[in-house]
Amino acid sequence: MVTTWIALTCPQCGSPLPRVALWRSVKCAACGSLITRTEAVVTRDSFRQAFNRARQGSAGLDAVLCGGTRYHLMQTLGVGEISHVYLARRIDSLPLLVTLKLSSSSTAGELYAREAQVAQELQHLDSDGTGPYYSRLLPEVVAQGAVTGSHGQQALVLRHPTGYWGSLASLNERFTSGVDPRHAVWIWRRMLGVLNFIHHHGWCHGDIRPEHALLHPQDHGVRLIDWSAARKDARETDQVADLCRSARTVQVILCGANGSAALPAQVPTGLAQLVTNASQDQDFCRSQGAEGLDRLLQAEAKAAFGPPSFVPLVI
Amino acid sequence: MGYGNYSLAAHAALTASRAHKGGSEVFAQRQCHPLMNPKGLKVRECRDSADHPNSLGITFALDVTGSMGDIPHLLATKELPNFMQLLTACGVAHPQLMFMAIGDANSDQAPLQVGQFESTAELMDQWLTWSYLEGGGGGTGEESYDLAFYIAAQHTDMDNWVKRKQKGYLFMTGDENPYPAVSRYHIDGLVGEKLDEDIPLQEVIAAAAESYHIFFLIPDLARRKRCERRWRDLLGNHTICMESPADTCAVAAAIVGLTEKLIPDLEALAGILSNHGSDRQHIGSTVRALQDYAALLKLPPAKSASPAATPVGKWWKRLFE
Repeated sequence: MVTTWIALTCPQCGSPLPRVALWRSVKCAACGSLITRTEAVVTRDSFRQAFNRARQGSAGLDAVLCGGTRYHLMQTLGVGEISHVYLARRIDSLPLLVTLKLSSSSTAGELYAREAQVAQELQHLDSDGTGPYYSRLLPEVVAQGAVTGSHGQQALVLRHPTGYWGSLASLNERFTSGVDPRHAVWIWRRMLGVLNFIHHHGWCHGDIRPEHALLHPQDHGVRLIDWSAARKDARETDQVADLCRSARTVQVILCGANGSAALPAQVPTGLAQLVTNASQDQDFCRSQGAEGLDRLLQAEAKAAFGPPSFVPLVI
Repeated sequence: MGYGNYSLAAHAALTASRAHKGGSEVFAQRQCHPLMNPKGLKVRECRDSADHPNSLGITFALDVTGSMGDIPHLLATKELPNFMQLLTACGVAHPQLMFMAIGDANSDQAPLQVGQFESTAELMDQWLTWSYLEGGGGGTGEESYDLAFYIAAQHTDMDNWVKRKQKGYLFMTGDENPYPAVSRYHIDGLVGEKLDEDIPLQEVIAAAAESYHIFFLIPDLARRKRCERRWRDLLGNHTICMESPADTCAVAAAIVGLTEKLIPDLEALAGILSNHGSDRQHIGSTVRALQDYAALLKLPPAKSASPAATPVGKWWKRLFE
């Protein structure tokens, strides 16, 4: 008869284990490891390897490392005074599309930190059940901080809003003689909707302008961007300034790139009067607020174009 | 498993016959069904056969805690035949469905239930309705979604992956955050398997994602606020925020169609849904839910374009100074 003797030793340190290790888990007296003798132990290592494989995407020279995550720069979206803005993709088997701002100025870091803080606070606004709707139109921060391996470069990573064609400034370039006033109506209404929501919660945007509003032609959506000048507990004058500047933005797209500040003849008189009043008269904006302006706008649109209908915006 | 042919008529009749019934009548289990108990589970197989030479494994891991019981009920009384019909309309010829039910391993009696991959209406329906809707959940804001990822990674074997390197699909529904790791104590107690240590959630997801396209479906916009952030960190654009639980099947079928490139874009999807008899609201909410994911599939080729010129000297600049 042949007897096979298997020594019970700790796989971690080689110390002998007590005999009970044959039928239950024991702690190694020498190194403290928990030893379980079993035919099939599932090891974490195989899962860790899968995780490492998922993060090994080839990103080339365009990879940016921020907050422990690598991003692959896909496309340049724009260039500002302090930032280069990119469409980027998180390097992972489950990717995330992001808008990545990379600083080109030493002052950007502070502004990015502020914008990230503002975005986080805006995402928590909700009092009347409309928060879930509007939160989709407000910025969502993914990461913010220094770019690892760079020399002081800063990054702000935001969730990328999909389906947006470009800014209202770009729209103005496209329609050199001004957009159809029917489109200006819904564009202004979308801006007023968001402004009403944030003003109701005591905030202001602080820097409404054509470059800071993105357009979603298919869904007739508008998204305000660049919230670095936004303020909580805003003064009434700041909120009024938001409204005036939203009217001026509408004035710009109605006039077109080759125009002047005078609204073209194709704009119905009532609508032209409303845009002019709102863009120039702060007392008018103060008395109406975003909600009042929206009501007046709806009334003028109905008088000029009839009941609301969906008119495709072909760009 | 996975033998037999699917009959839409049989499936529709099956669900229609109980359309008026309440949740407790449709889901009559009052404890984990013995055949869905994962204790001692070795492997769930999705195999090719003569009838199904190109099988495609699709797993639904349904959150069955108190706040999420509506989706299993919708599937069992109305939506599952629609899902199969949409898959067929998209050109997915041989889907095999498996259902898992997920609860909270820290507080529920049956936090993990696992069915089998099936091709026939009767067997799909059987596993779905054998699920025990415990309606628990711990109130901690976290559920044991990690267990479903572990089972997918460790205990499923699909011919679509093994033979053709075609990933299967794992659709998880839920409205809470996941626990941060797979607990070896839970796996030991529920599956009867030893882990050498706890497995961080990111690692078990990465392992499951090697053979599955993974998606987390949040049922509506109100519930998205409490869990979307965490899931988006984990799954990126594979986190799908729906506007209604009723969109679950259309969204899932559309994801399969888009990912397999059987549907070219969201416009084509809208056409398919319209032909299928969906109303405008349903089509709109389905398309909106999928915009982020569809954008991922339609990425422009990577390039380092030269920076766009900053517009200067416009007449209107002075209006904003």
